[in-house]
Parts: sequence; structure tokens; C-alpha cells
Amino acid sequence: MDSLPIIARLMILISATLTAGGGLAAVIFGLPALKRVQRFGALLGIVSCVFYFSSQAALLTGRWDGVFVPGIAHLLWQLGGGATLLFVVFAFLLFLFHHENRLLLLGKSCLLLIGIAWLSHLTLLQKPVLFLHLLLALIWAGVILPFLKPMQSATLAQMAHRFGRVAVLILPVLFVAGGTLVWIRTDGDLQALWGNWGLAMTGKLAFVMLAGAIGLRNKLKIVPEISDAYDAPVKAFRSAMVVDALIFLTILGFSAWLSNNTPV
Amino acid sequence: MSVRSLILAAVLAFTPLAVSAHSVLTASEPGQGAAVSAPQELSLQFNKPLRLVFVTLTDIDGQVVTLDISSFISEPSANFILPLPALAPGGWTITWSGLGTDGHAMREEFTFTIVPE
Repeated sequence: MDSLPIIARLMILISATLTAGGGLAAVIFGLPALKRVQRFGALLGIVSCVFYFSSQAALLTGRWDGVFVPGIAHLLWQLGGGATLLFVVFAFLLFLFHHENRLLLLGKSCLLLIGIAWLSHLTLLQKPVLFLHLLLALIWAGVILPFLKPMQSATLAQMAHRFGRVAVLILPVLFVAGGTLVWIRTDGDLQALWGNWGLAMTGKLAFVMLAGAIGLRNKLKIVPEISDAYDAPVKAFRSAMVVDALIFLTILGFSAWLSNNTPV
Repeated sequence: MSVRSLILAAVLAFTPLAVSAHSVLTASEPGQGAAVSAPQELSLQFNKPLRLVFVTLTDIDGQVVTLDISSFISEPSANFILPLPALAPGGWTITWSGLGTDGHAMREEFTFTIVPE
């Protein structure tokens, strides 16, 4: 029962990556917007929000059908961020309708990330930090799926090169925003990092570093070779993207666990 | 954006304002693993205020006693004192669930033993 809200959060984060992440990658790097993937992400996101609400009720009551226990749904709606959850559902809903307009796609993506940041248990002034963290992380994660789509070597190299230039800026800001969030969650008491929460945070950091290392290898070694139109580097790049996808899934899992637990 | 605004934004972001971490049970009476005789009340202390939603006691045979906490749901608090009914000697599990002021739902349990007087 305790793991239900974590699974629900993970589902919301995966859905956000498929929708907003893909949208941001399409806007910033000119990568193809994967309509079907975004629609699937939107549907998964809506289901995840319903599941999230039900999982909170199940946790409170200790019953799978806790949401039907008299008073619980009302209590959660009023005090557990019901309106914000509805906002997130609305933002996911927008991804069911595809627009070629990049500005609209950017707006939808930001709207969804604002909703998810708002859903967190941080204070009003801390939520923008989470928004920034989510924005940068999902820009990074959002490029993976379009890169797996078949495209010409020259186009792939051009886009990967463009992403490589921006990634150099994304990574430090991502670390600063992430570090700030850790500081906020621990109330500045870094002793709290010695427990399970700190261990999970270290695990997440290790996977982020691994993704960074793969990105660096792509930027310095593989992508320059793609421009020469060899087949092997393209395969190596795609393999790296598959590994990246698995790493990001693991990072999202850590994030879902971390946001649902308290540093003790 | 001026340097002063940037510094202000950074300070605000780093300042731990109000509740940023979830509530945690810091102490209870009876405590985890305690052996007591005929406790009259249950005391729960949290590091941050929360709204108690359910408190149940379960004996080793699975019989559940639900405490009436209707008067506590409306207002968040960090300290709760709940009257206990007469409980039979043996092992008991206390399960509490609550909603933090940040909207975070929590559920935890701990055990204690009632020894015959």
C-alpha cells in the first residue's frame, strides 16, 4: 500500500517525459514531435492522476477502495491538492490535440510542468526551483525518443550536435537546481543525507552522472563520426540512446521515491 | 535582472520556508516496542503539524479497534492525545494515517505490548 503513491508519481513523471519532454525537445532542437507517443503519454498521464488520487486515499485508509470511504475523497480534494491535480489532468488533456505551432507546444509543456511542480509539497517560493529542475531534466530526457526514430545520418548528426551544445549549459543548471532542492528538503541539515533518503539521492546522482558521461561520449566521440555518414556510429548512438532511456527511467524511479519520502 | 534581484531570488530559494519536508512521528506513548500495563491514552508527537485521519489498534488475532478522532481531522496539530478503551493484555499494533499541511498522505504503524497488572 505504501508504494502505491510512489508508483503513481513515477507514472506521472513518465507521462510528463513523453508529453512535455518530447514537446520541449521538438521546440528547442527541432526534433520531430512524436504525435502518437505524446497522445499515449497524455492518456497515461490522465490515468496516472486518477491513480495518484486513489493511491493517496488507499494509503490513508489502508484499503484498496479507500477513495470510496465516506469523507476521504472530499478531504483529499480539499487538502491533498485536488484542484492542482485537476489542472495537471487538463494540461495532459491538451497533449491529446496535436498542434504544429511550436509556441503552443512550448506553452502546453510549460503548463504541465507548472502543474506538476505545484503538485509537489514545496512552498510557493520553492516551487519555481522544482519547475526549473523539471524543465531542464525533461528537455534532456525528451530528446531520447525522437533520436531513436529513423532519420538521415546528416540530420541526426546536426540535431545531436545542436543538443550537445545546449546540454553543456543544461547540466550545470540542473545540478544547481537539484542541489537547491536537496537543501530545501533537508532544511539545510546535511546530516539527513546519511539515511535511506540520502542513499537514494546518491543513487540518483550516480545515474545522472552516468547519463552525463554517456552524453559526453556522444558529444566528443560518436556525434563527430556521424557527420562522416558511417553506419557504425549511428548504431552506437542509437544504442547509447536506448541505454539513456533506461537510465532516465531509473532516475525517474529514484525521483518518485525521494519526493514521497522524508530525509531522516 | 539585476545582481541584487538574482541574489534575492537565490536567498529565497535556499531559505527553508514553512513546511518543506513531510511530517514525521517523533515520539509516542506507548512507544515502539514498549511494554505497558493498562494504558489510558495514546500520545502521538510529530515534528510538523498534520491532520490525523485514522488511528487503529490491532491485536495479534487481527481484531481491530478504531479510535474516534473526528474532532482532530479539522485542525492540524503536532501533538495528539487520544483516550484508549480498555485493551486486553498482549501484543498490539497501532496504525495511524494523516494528511500533512502540505497535502502529503502518510501511514505508519508501530507495536507495543500490554502486560497484565
